[in-house]
Amino acid sequence: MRKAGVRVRTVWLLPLLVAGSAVPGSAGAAVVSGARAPHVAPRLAAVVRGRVTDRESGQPVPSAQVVVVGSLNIGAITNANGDYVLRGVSAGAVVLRISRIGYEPTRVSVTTVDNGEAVANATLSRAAARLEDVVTTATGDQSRRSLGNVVATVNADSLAKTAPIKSIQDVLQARTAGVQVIQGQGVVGGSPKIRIRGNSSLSLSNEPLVVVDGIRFDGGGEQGNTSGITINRLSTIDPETIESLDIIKGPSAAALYGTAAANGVIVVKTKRGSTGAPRWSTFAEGGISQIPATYPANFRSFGRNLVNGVPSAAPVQCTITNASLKSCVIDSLSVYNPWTAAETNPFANGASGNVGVQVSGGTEAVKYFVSADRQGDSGPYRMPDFEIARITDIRGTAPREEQITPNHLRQTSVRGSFTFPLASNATLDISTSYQDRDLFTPFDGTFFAGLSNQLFSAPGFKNATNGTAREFVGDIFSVTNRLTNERFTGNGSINWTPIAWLHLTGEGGLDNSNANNSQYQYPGEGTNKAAAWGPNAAQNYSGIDIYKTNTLQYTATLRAAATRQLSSSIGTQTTVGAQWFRTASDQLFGEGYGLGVGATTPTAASQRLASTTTTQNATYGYYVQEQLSLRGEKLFITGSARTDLNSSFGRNVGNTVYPSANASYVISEESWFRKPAIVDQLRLRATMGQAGLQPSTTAALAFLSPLTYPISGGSEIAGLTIASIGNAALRPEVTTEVESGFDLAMLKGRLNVEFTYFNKSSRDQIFARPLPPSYGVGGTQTVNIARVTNKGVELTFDAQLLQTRMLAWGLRFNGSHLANKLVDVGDVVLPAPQATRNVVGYPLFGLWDRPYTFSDANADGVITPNEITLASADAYKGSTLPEYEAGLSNSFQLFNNKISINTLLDYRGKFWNSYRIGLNRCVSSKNCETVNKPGSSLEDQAAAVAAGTAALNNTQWGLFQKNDFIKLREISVAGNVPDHFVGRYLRGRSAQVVLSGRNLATLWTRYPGIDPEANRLANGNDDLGTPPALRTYNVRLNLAF
Amino acid sequence: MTFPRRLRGAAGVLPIVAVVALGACDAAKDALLEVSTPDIVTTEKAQSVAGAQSFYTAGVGEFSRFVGGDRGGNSPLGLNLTGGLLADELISARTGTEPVDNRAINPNSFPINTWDQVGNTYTRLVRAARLLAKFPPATGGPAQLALLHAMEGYTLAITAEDYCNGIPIWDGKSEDQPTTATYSTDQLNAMAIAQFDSAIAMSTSTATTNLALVGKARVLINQAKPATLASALAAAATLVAPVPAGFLFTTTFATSSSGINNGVYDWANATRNFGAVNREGINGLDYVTAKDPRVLIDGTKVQAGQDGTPVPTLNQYTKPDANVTVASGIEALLMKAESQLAAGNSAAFIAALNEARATNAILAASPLTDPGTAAGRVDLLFRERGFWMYLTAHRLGDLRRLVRQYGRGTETVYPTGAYFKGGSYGTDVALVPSQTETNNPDWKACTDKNP
Repeated sequence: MRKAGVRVRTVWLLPLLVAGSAVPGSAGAAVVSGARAPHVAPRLAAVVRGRVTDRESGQPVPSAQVVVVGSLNIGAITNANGDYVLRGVSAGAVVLRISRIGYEPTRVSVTTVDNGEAVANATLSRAAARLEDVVTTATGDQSRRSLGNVVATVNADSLAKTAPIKSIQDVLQARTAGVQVIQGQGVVGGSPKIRIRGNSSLSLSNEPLVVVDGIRFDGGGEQGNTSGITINRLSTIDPETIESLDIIKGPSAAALYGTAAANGVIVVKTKRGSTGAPRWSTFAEGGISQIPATYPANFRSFGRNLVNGVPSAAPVQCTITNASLKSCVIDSLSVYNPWTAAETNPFANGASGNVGVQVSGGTEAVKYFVSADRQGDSGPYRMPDFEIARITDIRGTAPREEQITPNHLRQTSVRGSFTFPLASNATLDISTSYQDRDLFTPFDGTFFAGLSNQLFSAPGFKNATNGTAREFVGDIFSVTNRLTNERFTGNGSINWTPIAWLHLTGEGGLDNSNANNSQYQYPGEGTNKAAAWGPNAAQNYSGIDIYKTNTLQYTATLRAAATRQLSSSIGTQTTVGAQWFRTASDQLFGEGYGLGVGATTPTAASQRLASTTTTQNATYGYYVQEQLSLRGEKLFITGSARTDLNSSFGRNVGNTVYPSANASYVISEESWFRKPAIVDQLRLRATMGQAGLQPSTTAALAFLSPLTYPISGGSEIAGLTIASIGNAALRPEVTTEVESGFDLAMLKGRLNVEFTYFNKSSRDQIFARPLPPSYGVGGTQTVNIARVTNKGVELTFDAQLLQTRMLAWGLRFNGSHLANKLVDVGDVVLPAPQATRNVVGYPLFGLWDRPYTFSDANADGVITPNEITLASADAYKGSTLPEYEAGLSNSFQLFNNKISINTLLDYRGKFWNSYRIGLNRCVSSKNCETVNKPGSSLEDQAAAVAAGTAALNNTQWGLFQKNDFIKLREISVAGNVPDHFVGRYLRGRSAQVVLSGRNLATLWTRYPGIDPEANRLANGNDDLGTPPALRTYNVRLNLAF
Repeated sequence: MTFPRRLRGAAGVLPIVAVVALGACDAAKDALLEVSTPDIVTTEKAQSVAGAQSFYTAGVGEFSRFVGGDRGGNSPLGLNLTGGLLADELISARTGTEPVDNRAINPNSFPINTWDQVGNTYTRLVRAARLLAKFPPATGGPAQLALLHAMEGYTLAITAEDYCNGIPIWDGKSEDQPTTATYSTDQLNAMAIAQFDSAIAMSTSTATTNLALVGKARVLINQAKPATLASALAAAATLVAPVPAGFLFTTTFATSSSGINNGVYDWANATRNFGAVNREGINGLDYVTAKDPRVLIDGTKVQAGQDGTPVPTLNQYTKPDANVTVASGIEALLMKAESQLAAGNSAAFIAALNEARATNAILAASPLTDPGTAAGRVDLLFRERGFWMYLTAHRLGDLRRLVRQYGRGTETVYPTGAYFKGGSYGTDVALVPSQTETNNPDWKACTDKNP
């Protein structure tokens, strides 16, 4: 009778919740009315305790997950002693599944009685098979074997201790198939970009959604960033506090994340406490950061113009092309390299340091994890001593610290997580973090008076500014970009299992960032000969721009999951949930030019300006998911749907529904499956799903823009102009993804292979359709018009090649191929600028220009315009996003794990860079070797001549450079200090010394620029004003008590 | 710690609680989705007298940008700068070759925002005039309307002067979902004259009247064919006869760097993206070496342009709020001189030119003499016009007139030969709409790009 009652409940739960009303009839009444069904009262909950240990070493296994089979929501994590406690377990016979990353999962059976307590110990064997891991999804933690999609998991906890990483991007780089970490500018505090399975959106962000402990986290670009350096907020997550990262790669898996998840989701799970005595761990790290590249010298071929065949008196630059054309004669060649000259060399090894402490533990009343760390980095830029002396002489005082080391970072992070058992079947989790960041970045990027332009555009000889274009390096470094940022995140969740089959979760959280971005130069300081960044000569080239931005991001989630084992082979889990997200950003911009002496804010400026920008967005959605486990948890079939409303949708647009379905089949566990002897496990999986991206806040609205206009007398008054005609039918972008693949474990876990094929189609692409300027109503109208596809394959395998007591060798490979294509743009005529261009039938942001052929017809070793033949039409050169990427890591454990060595290689292939540095040097500044030095490569000459000749369409075809590379991304060597030494002299539990390095070498590339990873663009690939990825060396001591 | 036993029996109601909670959330979705957008102004808010005044302000302000541009961060380049690039007034000192300067215009390339400003200016002037008519101020409404009409006339006239034949202009039918019609140069001129006539009829101020008179006369001359040039010039001279030599109408710019700044000042003086030039491409005028007081260029002070190109210091506009002349009594005198030239009265022609020069003490000291040949007189006329109206959005129209009305070859008036950044000059003689305009379903290309 009890079973019958339970079955009724399970069957009716889904329609009950979806319909939003009580189900009439006696069966439903029996469920909700205890008075009418006293005989089906639930059995009283029991408690199960136990310890999990490593089968080989006998050591306790901390952080293992213990869950009750058939009720994933009753679970616990083992503490440092390997102990766990499960509460609210239904009395009777239950099966526990115990899993931990890196171990073969196991199951144990235990029988409990009402209000009783049972003990169930377990041992785990190390294994490479990952099917039993638990991953975090939109509906909570789930076993990997039940998911029809691939979820990549990176164990950040162990990486942070041994690898040279400082950010989430570092954690992900080259470690996950299909995830590309695209290096940003090589400055301390600069942020790489992340692309998961390619670019999906033409106009919106292609960055993934970030969820930290169930709360949306603003990982986007720093608003009001004045520096020209990409700085993302994702970089503010302290890797030291992360337990693991789950990467949900596409809409097939991210459907329940709804609007905003089309680019994939990075799910961050931070560290938690576990029951036991306080366990302290500390670390101290020191190192250096440096610019690893070799910068080219500047050239200048001097000569004299030929007038009627006779050299004139005045010296001029005479390029080899002009000499060949007999317009001048070369008489000397000057070479000078301001990047290396003592007076102008802007680089020096920067010192970095990082110290931190963590403590975790807990009692029956509370479990806790608290961490704090402080890092500093003086960065790889330093004002030359010559410039310090020169400026000191001029000002009478020495340059300030931020001018001497214009790229330095100080950052403090604090995090605390607390778990309170509210009852035997309910817990309250509270997490909070605070971060304080103070980041200075150099005046560089595409500013003409910035560092790169000034040194790359220099004349090739030592001039009045010591070989730069027009500015002293000390003056360039006296323009300051500063970001100060305080960030608070807080979230709480209540998990309640009122009855064994029902689990309720309520989550709420806030991510708050307060940032000040400023760019300033004070009177008598900074650049003043070249075009300054803002203030002009009349303002004494002094001024400050400051953006004060407060961003609030709220998340609220209600979720109910009902789980029931219907029979020995069939189980169900029904989940329903509702979510609300709200983002609000308030920005105040202040500008003051013409600063008084001593003034540091716009308040004291002779000319002031202020404006505000308010951005708000809200999403409300709800979802339902039904998962069936069949054939004794060998086959899982899941279907779900989420529907969202968003404040940015057009007023004529209703809910958007994102459906998904997936299947996972561990076919090798079927009795009929004839498994070859070498195969341990084979799982087949397939999934389909949709997710979206919402338009920007005002994209659907028609509105006017208030602008100020001058009137006679010098004052200004406000006028109104049409800013947007809006679009009442604006919908979210919707990406549909189909994914299939298999997971194969072989050779007793020594070899694991994961293969995935995916096909994403992003329709209703939000596109800023260019409006004809003659309409005079704003430049664009946001419409849903384009379609983009991303297809590809991903392969991951790890192999334990050698396993002895003295030496173990593990190898892991992850790689992917991506084919991106813009399929359709409706009737929009896309612009066709030089270089980066979107063309239907080709990858987004590809490189295009007019091809040409050349021939040194007069065999004088110099290419002139008339020796170049232009093709009749533009052509596609290649993708700017790598079509192939791979990471290869080797790990060696020596002397029974006393020493471990890890290496990481990173490959990107089949992509192109527009090589703007080459364009600027060889065409604009005419100071590269190619155009000045006789005997240069004919191919390079042709590229420069074609780009500089209007009659040849100034085609940059020959300048585009293949960008493929292999880098030695990381090496780390970790040695465990003998326990007796640690205990006796350090009074600790364990200690480890780690030597590591990052971005150590480019092992192979044909790219001629500074660094094949240099790219300043979010969409596209352009190395202008982009320093190379920083090389770092670190020494670290990990100490646990 | 245990959960209260009495609640365990009520666990069965939890699905209902969850449903109620979800239902409550759903019912409150409007509140949950409520956001505010305080930085934007909805269109309804402009339907008032104050709104009309704001539109008027914007219309007048946009006209300044149309003629004189704006600073780099704000865009656009005004027609005095872009036209000056295609003509011989300025060269590019920016990175790479500038297609407009090179006479090889690329509709995809900078400065395409000059065309954007044509549409912005015309439509905002028309919208302002409509709203002003609907919500007139208590006083001064007709004067404001007259000025708007005069500016509409100039917008159409200068666009016709500088752009190719057959371009799209808003047809005025819908303000929410605009459409355009394609107008020939002649049609634009006719529309401009109609606007000037409206301005003259409504004007309550001499300044606006003179502005409209000079504008209408300019169009009368522009639209003339070689056979009708003399009569058109005579009509123009008659029209501007009441305009005093000291008349001056200028755009207005702001001192603040956030406001509308003189584009030439910002792009050429402050940031040296563009620079002054002497005898650009063989045919250009000697703006630098002439050391003429009307063209303020310091040839002795050569500075590096943004890309390192040496450029003499341009002092024509030395402040962000330096105003740009739209129409003047000098221009009226030059029209009078040209009408005398067309009438074959050389002495009167020279006298009129000298009458203009007499307004400047330095020039008055060196009066002009008759060159003695018809070609020389035409050269002299357009040289005087070039110097008097340097960087005021007249020069490109003058070069086109030299070809169209005086029979000169394009390669004898436009910069030609080797381009100083490599290669040769192209063959373009007029500006064209930007590539973005090809998104217009009612327009695809110019009818012709002839002078």
